[in-house]
Amino acid sequence: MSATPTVRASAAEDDASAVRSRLASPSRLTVLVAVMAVVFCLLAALFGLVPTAQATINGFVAGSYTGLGAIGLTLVLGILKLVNFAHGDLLVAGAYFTILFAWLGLPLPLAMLGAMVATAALALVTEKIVWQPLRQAKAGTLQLFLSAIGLGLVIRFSVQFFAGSQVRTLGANVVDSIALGPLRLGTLQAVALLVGLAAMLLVGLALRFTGIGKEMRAFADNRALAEVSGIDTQHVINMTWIVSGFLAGLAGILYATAIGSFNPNFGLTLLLSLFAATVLGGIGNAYGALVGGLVIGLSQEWSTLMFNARWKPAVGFALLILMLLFMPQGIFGRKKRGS
Amino acid sequence: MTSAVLETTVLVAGYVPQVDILNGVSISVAQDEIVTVVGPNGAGKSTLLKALIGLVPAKSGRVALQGLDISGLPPSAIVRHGLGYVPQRENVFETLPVEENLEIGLKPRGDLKLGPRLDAMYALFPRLFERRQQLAGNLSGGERQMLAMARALMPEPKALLLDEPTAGLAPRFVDLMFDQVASINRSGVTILMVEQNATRALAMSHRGYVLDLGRNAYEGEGPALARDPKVAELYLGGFHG
Amino acid sequence: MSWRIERLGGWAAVSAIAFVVSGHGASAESLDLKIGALLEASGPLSEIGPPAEKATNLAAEVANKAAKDAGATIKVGVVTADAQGDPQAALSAARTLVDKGASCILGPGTTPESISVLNGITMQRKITLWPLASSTRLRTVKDDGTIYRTVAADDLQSKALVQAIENHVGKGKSVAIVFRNEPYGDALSKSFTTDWKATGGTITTTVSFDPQQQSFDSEAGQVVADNPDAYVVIDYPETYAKFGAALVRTGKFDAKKVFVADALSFANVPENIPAEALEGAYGVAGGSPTGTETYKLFNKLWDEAGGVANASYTANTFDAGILCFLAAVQAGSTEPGAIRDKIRSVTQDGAPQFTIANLSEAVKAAETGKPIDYVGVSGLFRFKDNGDPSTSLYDVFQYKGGKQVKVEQVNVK
Repeated sequence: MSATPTVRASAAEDDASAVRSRLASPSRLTVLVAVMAVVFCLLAALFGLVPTAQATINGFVAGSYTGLGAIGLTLVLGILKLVNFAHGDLLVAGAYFTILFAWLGLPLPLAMLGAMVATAALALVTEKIVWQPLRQAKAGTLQLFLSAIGLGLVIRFSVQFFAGSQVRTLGANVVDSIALGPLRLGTLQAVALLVGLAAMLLVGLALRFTGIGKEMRAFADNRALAEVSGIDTQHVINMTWIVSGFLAGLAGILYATAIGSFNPNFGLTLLLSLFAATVLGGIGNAYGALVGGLVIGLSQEWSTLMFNARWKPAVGFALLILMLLFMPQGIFGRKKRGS
Repeated sequence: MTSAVLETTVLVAGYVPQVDILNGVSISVAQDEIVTVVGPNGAGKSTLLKALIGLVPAKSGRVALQGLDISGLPPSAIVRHGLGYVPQRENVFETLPVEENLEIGLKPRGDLKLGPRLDAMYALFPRLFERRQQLAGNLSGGERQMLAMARALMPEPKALLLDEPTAGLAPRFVDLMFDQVASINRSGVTILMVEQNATRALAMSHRGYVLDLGRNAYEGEGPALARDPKVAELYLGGFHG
Repeated sequence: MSWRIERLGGWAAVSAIAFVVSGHGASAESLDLKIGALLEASGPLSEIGPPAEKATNLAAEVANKAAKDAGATIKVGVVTADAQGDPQAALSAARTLVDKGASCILGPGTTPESISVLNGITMQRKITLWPLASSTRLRTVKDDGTIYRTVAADDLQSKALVQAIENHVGKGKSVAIVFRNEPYGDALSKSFTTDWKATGGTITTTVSFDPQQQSFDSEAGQVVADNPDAYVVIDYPETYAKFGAALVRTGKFDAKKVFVADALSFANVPENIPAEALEGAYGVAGGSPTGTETYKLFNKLWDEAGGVANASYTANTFDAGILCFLAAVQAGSTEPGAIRDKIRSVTQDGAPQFTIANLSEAVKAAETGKPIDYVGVSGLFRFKDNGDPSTSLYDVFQYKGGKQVKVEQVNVK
């Protein structure tokens, strides 16, 4: 067999697939945005511009709640390959650490900052007492999965034990709203949306450009190779937990503040949406987490124009399944080649 | 000959407690040498490299890098001590661009500047410069191998472990690869490699070892070993090549 | 003899105790009655837990004093557990109460919890269950005569809402309904729709929502969309804290047009509900005949006891506790089934009437085993075959300055 044509052919194939793959991920986002725009126009024609625009604003708000929470989740899932069922409860921990620090006498902004740090520390503690030993014991996927569920329960019930299970509030003003012509956007909701966007950009840029960000991506890509490339992998793991915990704390605090009323179970009720946003956005991608959250939020709120709002979650998740059929890797996800 | 850069003394190692893949391997690689390890499948060649880099725990015996006992150290620490490793498969970060792959390679050496090291690698592998913004997952087999070697060379290792650098490459790339290994060696990097393409590899090596069943079987000067009919018959699959 | 000991003993012991109780009468024995309070101490209805607990304790106090004055050897104690607004938690809480020796159980607050407790433990053990849940669905469940309610079901509440809106907004007006998607809201919204349309009114929209959702802005927008004359809100405090905020954020909402159902009735608006979402709002909740001596006495006792402010349905819980006590006295037993069998004979039409003002007389009369008629703080009890009251009085109230102010009472059948 002659060798040269094989080389040529495979090189050409490589070039073609390189082009394809470079086009693939932006095109998925472009297609999605285009589809959303068409749906918006259709809805506006059917139900009027103002109601549709208001539902869109509401969708962005709902999406930012889940999207922000999902950023920390997607990092752990993408980098550490761990399905962290306890992530929702880290959000809860963030909200209750705020209550604790405020009760200890800290002014609210300081209590919030302290709560984020404390949640990051809690995430790191879970690494040290649960995940690191389990990894060293070479625990399988199912064991890790069950441990995550168990850990979530432990965090949730610890919160209940110390803080009780009654409804709590951080006492923020949840009724103020900004009028944009005939449209309304809650002031705190606007803050949640902006913080969500800022967190997404910050995490995305940090992953892209900082040293630790690059190490995290390398670790996510190929753990063994990262190790033999001389990366201090335990440091990468620790940093991933710290960032994920900090983001969970931030999301939990923001959620608790903007929603205004919560109990220790809110993390559990959010968890499914968090995972949905993560998967739809493309696992491990910070932009994907927020965009995934926004897409789910928009689908749910738009559905209220057509159906009774009690079906909102069902419609939202039906659409999620449909979208995954067309892009199983998610909006920003990449399929690994070769291996 | 100067003292050994890399040395194992009666090394016993394996992936699981009960099963040993290496049953007492002793090799020594001197400064500026190219040493090739050959042997039949399952002889423990790749495991030897993994034990050297710290991926497979040494159960007994000694592994020394420039006289320092490195057995028991994690891979990242061994890399920091100046040993590079190029795995056979999955040896590039597919979702990272070429240049970031190289940047990751420099992580163990905070004292080196990125720019000059990148320039050095692009000079050695001009093809990588052309492809520097592309994802490594989109490279061809030969390019991947170049990138994997360049990544391992970024921190200026004293010695480099190569696990079957020509496996799966088209013949045109095989020649190129051996040339590149030789030129890396000339630039002052000691090389220990494992090769399927044993005759070719031994021919270009200063010395060679033949492993069988996790033990030393033969050793000698590279070209001489390649010509030894006994070695050839037993381990090189005949005389063709 | 407590029922707990009976449980622990063998068959012989059970027969022996049964013989003693039935053969020698109650007066010879010292009875130790435990009333179980299945409280909504946490969860979506946690606002009603503390008043219900105080009402139960008050009933035990009043009963103990009456027993002492009458020279009866019965002691009443209260055991409590948290139902958490959750059917499974309620069942395990009910098991705890039974393990602590409860002979009858007051609560829980919701229909799903009540059904779970009924099927899981109380029906089988013939323990009378006195839910605060008001769904009509509890009428049709098979309960072996163990469910009694001192609160009226929601078909009556629906009529009370209609009257309240007619009184304060007018007849034939437009109403938007919003309800939490649960049996309570589902059933009450349907009854209200039927009753309101029957009087010539219109319904602009009916919005139901899933309580697990995070944001309710779209739903709130739909509620206010057609600028209705009134809003009917059938919700729990936990979710109204969020939904109410969303209503205010629409900028088109007027809390004075709101009429809430009884789950949003509290003495003081909880702090997690934004003040703007309920200030000036009207509501209905089961009431007690005011102006009676009994009513004044109950309020006096409540205030003297200190603690939480009086709230809706405290009199109903209190009366349920007294009924359980009187039935035990009449049965001369703390055996749950014996108590169940005497409930109707302590609320018998035509029998001598007693109130908490002369409860010790009631104890003496009940000890003779003859029927009596206890007239409760919340009114006369005429239980239908399904254990529901046949008429009811409702308070119409308004929130002013974050406090509940009673406006009027309506009697519905």
